[in-house]
Amino acid sequence: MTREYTVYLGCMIPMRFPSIEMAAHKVFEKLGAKLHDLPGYTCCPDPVLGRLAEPEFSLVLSARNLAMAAKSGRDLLVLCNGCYETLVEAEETLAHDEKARAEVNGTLRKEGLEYKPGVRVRSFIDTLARDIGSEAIRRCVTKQAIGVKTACHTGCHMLRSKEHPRERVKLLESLAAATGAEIASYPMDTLCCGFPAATASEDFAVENVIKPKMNSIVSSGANAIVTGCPTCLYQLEAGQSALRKRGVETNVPVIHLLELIWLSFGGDPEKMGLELHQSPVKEFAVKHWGKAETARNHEGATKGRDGGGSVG
Amino acid sequence: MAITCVDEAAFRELLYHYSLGSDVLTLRTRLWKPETTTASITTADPAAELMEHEITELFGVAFEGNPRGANMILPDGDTGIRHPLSRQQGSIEVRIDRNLANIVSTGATTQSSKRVAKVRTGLGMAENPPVCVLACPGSCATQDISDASGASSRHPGLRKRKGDGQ
Repeated sequence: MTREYTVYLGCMIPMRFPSIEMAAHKVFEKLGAKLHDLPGYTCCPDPVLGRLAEPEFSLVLSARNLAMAAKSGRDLLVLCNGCYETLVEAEETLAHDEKARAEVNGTLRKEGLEYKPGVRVRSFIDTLARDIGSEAIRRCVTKQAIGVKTACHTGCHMLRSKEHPRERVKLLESLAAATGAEIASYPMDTLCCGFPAATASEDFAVENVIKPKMNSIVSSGANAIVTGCPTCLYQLEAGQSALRKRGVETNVPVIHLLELIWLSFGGDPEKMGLELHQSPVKEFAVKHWGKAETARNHEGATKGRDGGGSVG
Repeated sequence: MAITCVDEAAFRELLYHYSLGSDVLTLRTRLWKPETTTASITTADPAAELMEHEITELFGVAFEGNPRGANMILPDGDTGIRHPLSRQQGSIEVRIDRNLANIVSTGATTQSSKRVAKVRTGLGMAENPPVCVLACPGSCATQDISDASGASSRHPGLRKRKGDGQ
């Protein structure tokens, strides 16, 4: 039986990294599942700034997305860590707080919507690891990630769970390992990417988060970073760019888990939109998963970029 | 133990610090303005009496159940000095990089950039994801917000939170 999910894309993935959106559809299809879009969705909204500035309005937006998802009758599969935290917490709040539910529904009624408890919000990582399983992924791998040693960055929002954070880290690592990639162990794997801090002070984020994090990653021998969060991905790429402006040589490719899995399933790195990354993901992908002659052509271009160098 | 009070304009934060061997445990609670009253912990921890009272004088937070009455720090009588460490009620200042704020707050309610739209179509996808955009013709939450009236001009049907200071 085909598993079917309503997919919640969020904003960062479709607007910044359509390669992840494309990979999500391809990966789940290959694994025997179908993703359905959620027409008319809005921002989740953002779990840090949005909820801090406008908590009540944030709850209305979340409830609207949940109410629309409920109409589909399918689980809501969320591709972004931040969206996942926002929607799970909103679902929890609305399911147990009658007053908040009544207020929210007063607004939603204007649109003919009503929030009712019961929407099952799922992280794509939990779904891949627990519903589908690493073994199923391993069976679909046609191009193993040979020579890829990756540092896994789980992201704060995925760590905030009833489970021990270490278990959440293991989930991401097990999925990345299913592609054949070697997992690099590094001490700062649960350190924040620095995105919230960077919105207030880039200097602070670079000095206190990105720099020690990248030092730790580079020291581990990793030649790539894998994450399940598009915002962490953006920040780890932008953070390296900020480090370079400060004279620190670092350019480790940062790749989303779904991109990694689709590449290992035989996805063509030239036809994924990887050029929108700010780190050399496309060159890295072509080198490790592209055709042999293409890989040779790109070897010169990626020399000195793949793997990043030192952070000091 | 010790208690710290921080006035953040929109709210006051009370930090209760406890020494646990070599560690310090800090418990945090917030009083959103204009709320000024909270419960005293003196029945559970008598050592809090002086600290709570000091916060009352300096910040204007009233601790219900604290037995101490007369001023300890400020002069008695009507001297015109009231809660000198208290800040005027205001809103929280959130400093956000404009570009990042745009990504965060409006990413799903604007159109894709030309560059991203080109990549999307090249991948066989629609130029834009199926989001609710500000210019959408149907009824949607974003339109409700723009023409709302009532308690909050931006949040139809919702009351302002206490202490928002707006």
